Amino acid sequence: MTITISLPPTPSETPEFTADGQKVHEAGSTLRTSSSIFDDHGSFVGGKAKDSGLLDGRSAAAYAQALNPIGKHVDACSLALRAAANAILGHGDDLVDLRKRHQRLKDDREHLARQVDALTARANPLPTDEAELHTLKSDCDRCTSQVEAYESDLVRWTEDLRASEERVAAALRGAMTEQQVDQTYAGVADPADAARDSMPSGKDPTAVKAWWDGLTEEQRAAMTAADPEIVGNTDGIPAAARGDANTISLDRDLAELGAIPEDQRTDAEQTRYDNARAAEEARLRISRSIDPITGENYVPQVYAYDPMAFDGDGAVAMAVGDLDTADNVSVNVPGLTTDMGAAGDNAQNAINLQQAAAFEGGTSTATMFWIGYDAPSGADSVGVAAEDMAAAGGERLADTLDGLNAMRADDFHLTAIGHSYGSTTVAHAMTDRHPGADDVVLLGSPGAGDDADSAGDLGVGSGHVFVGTNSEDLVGRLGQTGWVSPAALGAGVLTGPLGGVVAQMAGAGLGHNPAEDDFGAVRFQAESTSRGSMPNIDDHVKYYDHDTESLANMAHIVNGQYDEVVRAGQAHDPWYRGPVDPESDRTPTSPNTDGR
Amino acid sequence: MTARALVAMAAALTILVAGGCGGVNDETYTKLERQRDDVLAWARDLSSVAATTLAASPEDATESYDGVARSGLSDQFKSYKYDIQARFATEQQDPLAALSDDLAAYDPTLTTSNALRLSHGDLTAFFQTYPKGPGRVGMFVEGPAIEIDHDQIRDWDGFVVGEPVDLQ
Repeated sequence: MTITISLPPTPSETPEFTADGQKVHEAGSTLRTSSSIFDDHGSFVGGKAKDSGLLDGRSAAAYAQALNPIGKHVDACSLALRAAANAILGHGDDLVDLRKRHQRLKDDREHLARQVDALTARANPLPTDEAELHTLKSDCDRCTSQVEAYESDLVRWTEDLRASEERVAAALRGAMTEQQVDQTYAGVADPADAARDSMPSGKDPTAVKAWWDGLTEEQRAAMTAADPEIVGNTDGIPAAARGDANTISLDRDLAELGAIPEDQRTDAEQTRYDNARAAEEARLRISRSIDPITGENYVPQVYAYDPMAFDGDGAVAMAVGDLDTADNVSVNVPGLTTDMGAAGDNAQNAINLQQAAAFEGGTSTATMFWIGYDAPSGADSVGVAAEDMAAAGGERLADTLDGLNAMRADDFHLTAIGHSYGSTTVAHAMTDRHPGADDVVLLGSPGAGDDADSAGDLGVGSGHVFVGTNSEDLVGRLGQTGWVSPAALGAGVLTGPLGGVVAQMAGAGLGHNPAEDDFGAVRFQAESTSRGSMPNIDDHVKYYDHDTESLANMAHIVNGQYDEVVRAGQAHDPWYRGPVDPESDRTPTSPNTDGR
Repeated sequence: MTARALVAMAAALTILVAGGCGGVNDETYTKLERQRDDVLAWARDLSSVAATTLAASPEDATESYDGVARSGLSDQFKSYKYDIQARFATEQQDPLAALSDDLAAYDPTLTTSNALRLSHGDLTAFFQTYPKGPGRVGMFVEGPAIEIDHDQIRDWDGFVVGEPVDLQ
């Protein structure tokens, strides 16, 4: 019997491929921002200035005659730039995908080349044993078919690369002279107009999601470029689209306002620029941070950006991770003194929690800081004397949580985390609206709001209301316990610029202390190894620090690892003396939360 | 150049033009600048040794003035430190053990199975490996937090996050 053995061919070399799709995508984003700037200017020059009421009669007519053509030209330029931007963005996405496929091809090629070498060695000299010859033949045939599959993947990859290059080249070849731009685009209806007109009028995020899903790709891209403020801040629109839109708005503010000399900016421009810089700091912090498990840099997702909200305090929300796809999502609500200027600090908290969640075994997490309500800050701090700002903030937070649920079709795990006055805000959102969060975490809470008598009132089940309170955190002692509030006693010892604020909070009555046994929540360990020896403010701001009990426990909650959460004894308030906190006698620990 | 890069450059220029982060205390600013020089010099030394040990060049090296240690309930930073990070792609099987041997002068300690801590005066460095990032080693070098005068906190608002830095 003759056995024919054909050695497998050596696989072709994988070509060099150094294109960086991310950078191409960034270039496309910058171009899209330029298109948005042109769109704004076109709208202003072409009509808004005249329509402002400052011009009337003959002057308005003269304005229209002189400037309408310029407005139309600028609008046409915007559309032309947008077309080029979209082509480059698409090419960037293609390159990212091609790079991943290229890496796989390279790995396959190396593996196959080693196999071919090994088989060649086995065949030289040929084994004499018939069984071994049969095995060798079957191994060679299998390897040959794998090499053929590799070769065909390589051909497909090369064709896809060429097709993508041809697509972008064709789009850019259409780049025109100014005259051609006007001929092609002037007077052309912007696809964004029809999309905007069909947008639901209410705030229902489910209706918004349905509307967004019903738009064409072209309309979505047009809306993103022409109306980034709307796309970037409307609940129900997917986070990736919001991120794209807010990136345009943020880059535009930084570029436009940064180009104005500081002494020539108006107060409003300066406020807008300061807030944009703060958001940029947050964005850079996130993109510079590294996942402790994969070693890859995080990608920021700007979920909300409105630098002039709340009389210039600003609103911004940014996620570490992908809100559209992560299995576990957390929304982190800061408290006292938070305005947009604190974005960098809040980004660091979100980064720390994201890193801890990854380190504790979370495989798919997105952690968002949310400065989306008018928190007591600066002169506003008097607002802390009442719950109004927390209740109003709770409404906005509930809208945000509803929006996250509406934009996702799957059943993901959502945790709402509030720190300080933010915990009162979270409690209000949960108690007043019951938005679809799975778990609630209240940190350093001055009270769970007057509407919550017990953890059960928050609507997620008392076993899913978690409380982290450092025993020496002064703010954490301000909530109502037993029948005598200890708050006013604590407030009496405060000094310094913050003393007044906390003293007001003490007298405000922000509801029950959620760390007390009567409230019925799950208290977790949240002491710090640098804990003070008496109630103080510094222990109020350590909850998100790495290597703390609180961060490790929050990470477990965010990951849904409930059995890993280390429970703490609840505070109690006997009738014959002041509140007792068993945690104050325990020696704090320092669990590793980032691998370092 | 992207808008983001332009903004980062503008922030860097703000610091250079102002001779610091706004009208801040000269002594504190000088301290921070000295820390920058020390950290940068040590990071270059470490990088040079690591490049030989790991047979790889540093990638994605960035520097930052990092606002740290939040002040009570304030949203301002009360202290700053300078830090550098970079990473190496290596085929070295046990990179931390190899680095520990070659950097023995800096009192190397394994803080966990995947992080090596080094000290040099008041400066600290970490080399870190990643369970799902095989072949990737991160390097982090930083100085201690430098306290800012409380009444000048608002002037320290122009620090830079994540500028590329040359470690050669």
